[in-house]
Amino acid sequence: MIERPNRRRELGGPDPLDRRLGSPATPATWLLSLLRTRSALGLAPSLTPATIFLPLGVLLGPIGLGLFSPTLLSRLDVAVTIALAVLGVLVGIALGRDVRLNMPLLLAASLESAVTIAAVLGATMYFLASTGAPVGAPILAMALALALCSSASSATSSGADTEPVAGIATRVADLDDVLPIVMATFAFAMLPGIDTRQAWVTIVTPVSIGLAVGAVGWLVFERAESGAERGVYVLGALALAGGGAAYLRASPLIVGLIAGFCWTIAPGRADRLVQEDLRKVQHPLVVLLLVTAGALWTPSAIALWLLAPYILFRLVGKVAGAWASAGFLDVAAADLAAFLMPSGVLAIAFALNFRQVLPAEAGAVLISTVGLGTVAFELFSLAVVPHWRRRR
Amino acid sequence: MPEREERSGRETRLLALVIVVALAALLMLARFRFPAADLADVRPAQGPLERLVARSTYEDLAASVANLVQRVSSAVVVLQIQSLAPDPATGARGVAPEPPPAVTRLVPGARMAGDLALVHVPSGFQVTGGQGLAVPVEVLRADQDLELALVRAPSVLEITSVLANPFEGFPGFSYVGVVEAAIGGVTAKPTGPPTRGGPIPSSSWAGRPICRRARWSSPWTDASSASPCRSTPTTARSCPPRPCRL
Repeated sequence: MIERPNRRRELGGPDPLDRRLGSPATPATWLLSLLRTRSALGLAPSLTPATIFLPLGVLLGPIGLGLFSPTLLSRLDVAVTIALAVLGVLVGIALGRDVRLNMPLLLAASLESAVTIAAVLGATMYFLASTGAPVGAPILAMALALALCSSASSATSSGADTEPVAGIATRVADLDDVLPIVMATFAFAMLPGIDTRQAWVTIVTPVSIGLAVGAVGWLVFERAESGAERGVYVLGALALAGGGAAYLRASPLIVGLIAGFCWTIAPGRADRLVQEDLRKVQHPLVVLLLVTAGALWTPSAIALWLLAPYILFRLVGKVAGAWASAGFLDVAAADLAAFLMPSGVLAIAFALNFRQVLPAEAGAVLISTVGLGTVAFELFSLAVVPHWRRRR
Repeated sequence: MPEREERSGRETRLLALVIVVALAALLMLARFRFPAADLADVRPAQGPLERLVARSTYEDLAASVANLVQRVSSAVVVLQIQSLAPDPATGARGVAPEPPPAVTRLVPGARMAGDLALVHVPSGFQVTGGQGLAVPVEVLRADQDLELALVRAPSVLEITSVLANPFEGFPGFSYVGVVEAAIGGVTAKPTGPPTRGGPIPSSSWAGRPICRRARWSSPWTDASSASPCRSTPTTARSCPPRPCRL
């Protein structure tokens, strides 16, 4: 089991001894401690929650100050694609480590994710069919995209001073992204405009790109003569992964996942080298994704219309998924569900990925709905869940 | 162990409660039909970073022309002119030759006060109709020398006859759009840039009034303040098909 460093002490978080003695916290320190407890995929806790950068993106976007024009946002697509590939690499690294060490954890995370996807998918399809809301895309495609976005989770950081369930929840949050990424690969093959006879090409192509990038990275990362040179190799590999996926209209998340998985299971230290280098750029990439998604947010009645089934049945899915998988993990289902409640940046990443392939109107609705839902669940987790857990 | 069973039972009740509440809310919301909303398109304003982004010239030009057409369409009326039938001439054997087919064209006319419009009518043509008119067009005055005609052409729609940005202060060295008439309405053709905007003397204009009620001034002697499509009740300005500033 890989020992994670105590990030709270490194970032100046509350001393665990003070916390155990119950020293009073001011509102400012309480807010800072909340904002610094978010992490997913091994991202270090920092002030990067969706509740800050999504509204900031809205403010900077076309409907706000207009600093991010539609033309600029369209040109940021490439950077967004590379950022998605980076997130895919982090998921792949987490998958590669746990598939060898803890298969039940992977199965439990996949089960939790599957329950959430099924709940949101069914509810959204029924809702759209009953109300006739025009989403600009086939009902199945829109519902599947929304469901895959809803399955993403982020959890609190784990360290020596945190509860055991937080550590387990963090790793579940890392691994519950694998199933939606794999499903998205198959979903891309079913999009309108894709010939069914070529669907297998759409599925195999990103896997091939991921294997190629994985092979290239494995060969060159450890042979770099300096850290700077290695950084260039890493960024080049990620640019190749993201660019190849964008050119072939494949999902950059699956390309990154395959590449990260290859670097982890292959002999050598490629996975640790990549993680070390990505740690320097992970926060700007997360901020880029959140601000871009905020700038793309547009107020629409349909997004509000879809928000109700999204929020309600993501809640149902997380509670039911935690209830179903808690037995494999020997933790309390309510605790696990509480830690998995916030969506984090992965939901936004999925939404941005689907926006690149859906019709424009459907993509805008998806971004708006997922953005609002992400902020709602972040606020719910900050304000309600700690009290909910304390009263148990 | 009993504590664990109690916790498990509590979690099961929590799960059941969440599912029941969510299903009830879904069934209640699904009874409503999505209202058809008339959302107005909001064009986002250009931001400061927009200028740093390379843009296609043709896209800008097309957008400018479309904007121009939208601005001037309320002040321009599409009229139909037809060539006059030539005088029948007797041939060598006393048989009149077959007259040439009449030529029909669409021309733009500048709206003035009320339902009046001023239109350039080339020599040998006459106004015979219009587009989007409530009643057939009525020619009030026609001057073959000046090639102008004053017509009454009430539109089916309530329109204004004043352009948002008049022609005053045209500095030159700027692209202009030439307003033309088409079957579907008004269109504009980009051209230019003209090197300067200034008066051009013409022997056709000697201050002759074309209409008893209005006093005309030659546009070529007052080009700096000439507005091709602006009209006032007391002073009418000539409005040949002239470029409107983009």
